[in-house]
Amino acid sequence: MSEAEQFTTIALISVIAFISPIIAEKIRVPAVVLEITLGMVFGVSFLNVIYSSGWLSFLSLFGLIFLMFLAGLEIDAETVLRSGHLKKVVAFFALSLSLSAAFTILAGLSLFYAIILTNVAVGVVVSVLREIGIEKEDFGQLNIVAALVSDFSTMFLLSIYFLTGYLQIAFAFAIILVFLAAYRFGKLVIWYFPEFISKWFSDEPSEIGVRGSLAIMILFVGLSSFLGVEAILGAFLAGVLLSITFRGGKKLYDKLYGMGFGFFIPIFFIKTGSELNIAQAGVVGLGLILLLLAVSFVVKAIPSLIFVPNFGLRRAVSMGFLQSTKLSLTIAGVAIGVTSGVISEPEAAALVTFTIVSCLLSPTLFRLLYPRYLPKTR
Amino acid sequence: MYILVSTGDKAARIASKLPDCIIVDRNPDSAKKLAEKGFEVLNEDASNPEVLARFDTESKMILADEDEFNVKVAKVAKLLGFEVFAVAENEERCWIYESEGISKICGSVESLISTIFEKNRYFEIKVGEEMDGMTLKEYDAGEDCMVISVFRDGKVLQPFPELELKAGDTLGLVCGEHVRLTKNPFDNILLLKSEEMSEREIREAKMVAERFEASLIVFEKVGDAYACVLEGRSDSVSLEEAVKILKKSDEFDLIATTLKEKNEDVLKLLVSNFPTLVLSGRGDYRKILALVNNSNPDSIINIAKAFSRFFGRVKVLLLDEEQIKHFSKFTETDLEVEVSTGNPMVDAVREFKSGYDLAILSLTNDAGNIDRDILWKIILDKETSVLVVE
Repeated sequence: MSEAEQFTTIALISVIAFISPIIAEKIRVPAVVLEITLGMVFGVSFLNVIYSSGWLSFLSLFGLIFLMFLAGLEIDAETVLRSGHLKKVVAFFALSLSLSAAFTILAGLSLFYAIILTNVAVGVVVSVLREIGIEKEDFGQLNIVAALVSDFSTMFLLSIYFLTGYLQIAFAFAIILVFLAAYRFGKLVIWYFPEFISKWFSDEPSEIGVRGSLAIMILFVGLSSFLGVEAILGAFLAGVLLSITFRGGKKLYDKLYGMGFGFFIPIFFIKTGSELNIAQAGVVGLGLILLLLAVSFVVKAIPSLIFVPNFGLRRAVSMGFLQSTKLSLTIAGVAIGVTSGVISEPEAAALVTFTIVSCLLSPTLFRLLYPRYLPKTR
Repeated sequence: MYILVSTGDKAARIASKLPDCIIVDRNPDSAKKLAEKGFEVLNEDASNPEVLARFDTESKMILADEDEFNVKVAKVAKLLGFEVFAVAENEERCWIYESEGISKICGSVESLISTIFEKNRYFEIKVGEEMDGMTLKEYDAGEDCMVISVFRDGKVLQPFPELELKAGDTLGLVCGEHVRLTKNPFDNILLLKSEEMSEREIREAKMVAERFEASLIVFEKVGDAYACVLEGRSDSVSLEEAVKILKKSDEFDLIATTLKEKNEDVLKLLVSNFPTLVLSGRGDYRKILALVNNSNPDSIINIAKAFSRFFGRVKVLLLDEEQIKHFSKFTETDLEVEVSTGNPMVDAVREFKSGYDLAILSLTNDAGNIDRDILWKIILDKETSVLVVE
């Protein structure tokens, strides 16, 4: 492919990335949904004007790495540990994962599906709670903590799911040891060199914080690749490392989110959409989509019943619906699943469609079921 | 959380000033309108015990409906254990609350709000001829009161110690327990003296007591117990027992001690009862830093103000922008206030490491993002004394 054609594709993707959030806001859907859908329209499913190239593959891969890094950065360990419901939330997650695993075994699917079914879109959960003004209430906090625990655990499980052989497992643990050592080291640096670290969070034109954060991310990704472990584990751990070491820092985080969600991550979603051949999903795919939707509700709604004594039946079940929302990380999982050969192209098309429908349907069902004007119960 | 039993515009007016509030409105039309305005509303009869029983009894209940109905709800609410604030609709009918033993507010919605949030009184006095020419520093507002504004010729002046008063000025004063704490917070200071405590640390405790004109009482640690003389008898008691006795006697305001290693349980025990000064042997507090790391910053701010009165300027580092609103009413003291603009924990460490004689912080640590290990590094720092509040 000529350089001009490569640039044309990148330019087209940049325009899609630019207009997606504008249209998404008007039609009240998450921008990611529109990015994938427009990717499908311009990709192999319909117009077929997005051509593969080395450039595009690199930018898309970097988008996926950035997505995992920012997912790690969003993990708020303090909120999770301070929650009064932590034990029940862990039970909720364990039960949800067990039900998902039982389903996949019964249906003859790979355990990859169990991880996908247990995952939840934290960003959507928080924005829905914020929309109805209950994000700071006990029930809202419970939902956020449950989403964070599910998100962290499924991302971790997804990272280690692709490990093969004892050596890779040993290497993965080596990366976790490096992560723990880096955490201890980070605290010492804050204590002994606060002047230097404060520059990371300032508005200095050298953007030392952005450079440092990206260096940490790439070091962990590089280490993962060097040891033959999936790069997403490194990216995710780098994000968690920054999150638990610095415990916040709005300015720096905003810049990183700007870089990620402003450029690299939309490229990943648009490219993923463009490579999905919706026709391949077919009738079998439709059946799989409907089955996954039903199961994704069940594996969250049943475990949520453990919260009935705290919040009553209606709220508990509404929580199950909200927690079944899927989005960006599910798409990331699907992309990795296809690359590693765990799922086929038609399965990927069905999973992405399931994710989009889930992202639109689950919050709507939650809103319908949530008892808006009932007071908090004891 | 606040449960507001009210209706119509009055309900909207009160609810808009409360941070977390549900309105219980018995009128369906009004309830619908309030819900449309975005309030959380329950259209029920609050005098029905089953309705109130759904709420957490730790919520505060505000009754601002018709007087007879307020009294009816108050009786039920008191039985269920709620803290009740009733606003009399008609001041002339305040007696109906008194006859039922219900505390009420016979005034405006604003006085209700200030009573709930401030627990202070505000009033104004005219400056007479006899006070003409007196500076604000010379004016004795009393232990419980402080001047927060001076009105002169239709203008509001910021009060500062050297401001000269003129006959005809009006002084706005705020009085209450919270003011007393900022003016003279410590009457009795207890020194928990261990064998390892150095002479310098003991001298520091004496210096603090002298500066605040407080009595210094010493409990000496012998083995695992503290030898103390209380209520005329000497005894040897454990730390838990000593704290219990001190709390009961209600005489002490501050504990001074040393900590050689991280001991969360001991510090929590002390701090949950009294502000605790962890001594490091400083001869004076020339540089004081207050790290506002709790969601209820008044405890740190009040102590910072008190120290600024007795030791000079205190730098206050707010770890959360929201905390700035706690400063609007304080003008008489020498506080230098700064808000963290980067990472609060990193800013706190950087400021602390720039060299202070005393740091004031909270053990609760629920505002900002200071890591627990870092917090303990600050508390155990050998170069800086640390006053820990709950």
